[in-house]
Amino acid sequence: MTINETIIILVGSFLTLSAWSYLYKENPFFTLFESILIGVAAGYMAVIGFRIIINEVIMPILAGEVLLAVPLIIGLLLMSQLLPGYAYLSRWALAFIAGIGTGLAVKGVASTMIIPQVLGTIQPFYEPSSLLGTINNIIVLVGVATCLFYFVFTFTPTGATGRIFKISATSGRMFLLILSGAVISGDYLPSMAYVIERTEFLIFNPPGSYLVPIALLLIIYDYWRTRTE
Amino acid sequence: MGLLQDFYKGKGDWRILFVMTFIVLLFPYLVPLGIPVPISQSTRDFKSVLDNIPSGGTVMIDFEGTPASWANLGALTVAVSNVCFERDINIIYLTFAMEAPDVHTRIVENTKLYDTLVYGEDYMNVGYVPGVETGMASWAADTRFISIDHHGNDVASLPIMKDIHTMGDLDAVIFVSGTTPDPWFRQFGPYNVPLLSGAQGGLVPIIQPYYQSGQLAAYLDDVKGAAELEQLSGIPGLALSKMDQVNLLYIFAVLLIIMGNLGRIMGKEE
Repeated sequence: MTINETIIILVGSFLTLSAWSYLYKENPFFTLFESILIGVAAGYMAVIGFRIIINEVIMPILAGEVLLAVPLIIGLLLMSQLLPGYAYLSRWALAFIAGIGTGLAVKGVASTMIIPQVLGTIQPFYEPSSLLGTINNIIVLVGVATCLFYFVFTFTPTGATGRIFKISATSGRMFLLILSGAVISGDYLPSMAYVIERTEFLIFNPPGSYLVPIALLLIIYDYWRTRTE
Repeated sequence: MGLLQDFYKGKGDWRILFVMTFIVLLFPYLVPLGIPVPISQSTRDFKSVLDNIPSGGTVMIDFEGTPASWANLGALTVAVSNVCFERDINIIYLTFAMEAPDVHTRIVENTKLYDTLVYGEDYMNVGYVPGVETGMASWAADTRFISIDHHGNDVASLPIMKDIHTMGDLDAVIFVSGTTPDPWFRQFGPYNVPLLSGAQGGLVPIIQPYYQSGQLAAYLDDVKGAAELEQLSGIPGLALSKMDQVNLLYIFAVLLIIMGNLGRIMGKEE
């Protein structure tokens, strides 16, 4: 193993253990880790951003593509927010960016998000070859309709219609709660993957793995010291 | 049951649960369980789309993760890359996330055929494409929109880009993301290229309507889907080795939820 690899593994193990030390309690190691994480992430993104501007804007302008000065000026207008008295100039840039973004988003909404989804919901009630398919199609229809009822806030029907409306809205709320549960349980999977990968990094990468018993001893000593105090 | 009630009332020491979690996590390393990994239909469809791409074809992998998501999305992308390189399918890596460009290098280095790959012929790393949705629209319309790749090469001069001018020239687009997929469908959908997704766990319920409607050809469900693809393709990698721990941790989580609810019921009885 080279010196570089040894240093990388040691630093990685130290930072991993510093991050996990928060599980014990707030401590200076975790604070150090937070600062390093924010600093490195900000620095890396700054480098990537500058590289793009230089490669795709500055160099082509110097090579003769003068039109690229327009997005450069718009970007500089955004920076006017930092100048007291001239912050209003950034509104033009923001309006341009928001307009472009909205136009691009709206362009594909109907053809990719609304019509195909509606067509996908239109399924036969009865599938002769599959009982589960039939049940699934009915659940999809009921779920879509009742969820749409849940989001009607403009009026509240009364009487018999009101009762049906209220039952539909409550059913829609149940479907949305089931969706929330599925999303939250799905989010548990990547969290486990992160812990597993970091654990494997700590265990199977000497000399980084030697920091683990040192960290455990520090925690045990601090716990004993806190209890005796 | 007093311990459960203490936890339900917020008085318990949560560090006990962290220690128990680590014990459950470490158990399979001592006693490998080999829990079977059933393969879902979406993974079979994913493999089927890749199998239908002719040898020498080109796909684009849009990795929207960060170095922090290496464990799940990185492992997933390595599994997909392995299948592509095994079938002699060329890969164009790019990202609309600023933190991701260098992760592409790590992904390729972790593939089985890395030593045989030639940069610029078998794969390339466009790097960061700014603008998110505007960047997507621009790159889809003109793949030379970013003229210099992440390693400083002229994009137009690379052999892999010889016949790729718009997104329509690709054989498939694979976006690996932890965020809502709507921009990809809006900007990439009109090009009639098979769209495949490597989705972070919590995103799967969100993208399933797109899969059901046919807009999404197939998807992989986070590290579980990556493990299924590795098993289906016969190329074990970073994901399959984690599945024993994943299964045990899920069982542990269910037990904790049941115990938490028991503590709540016991608290009410008092």
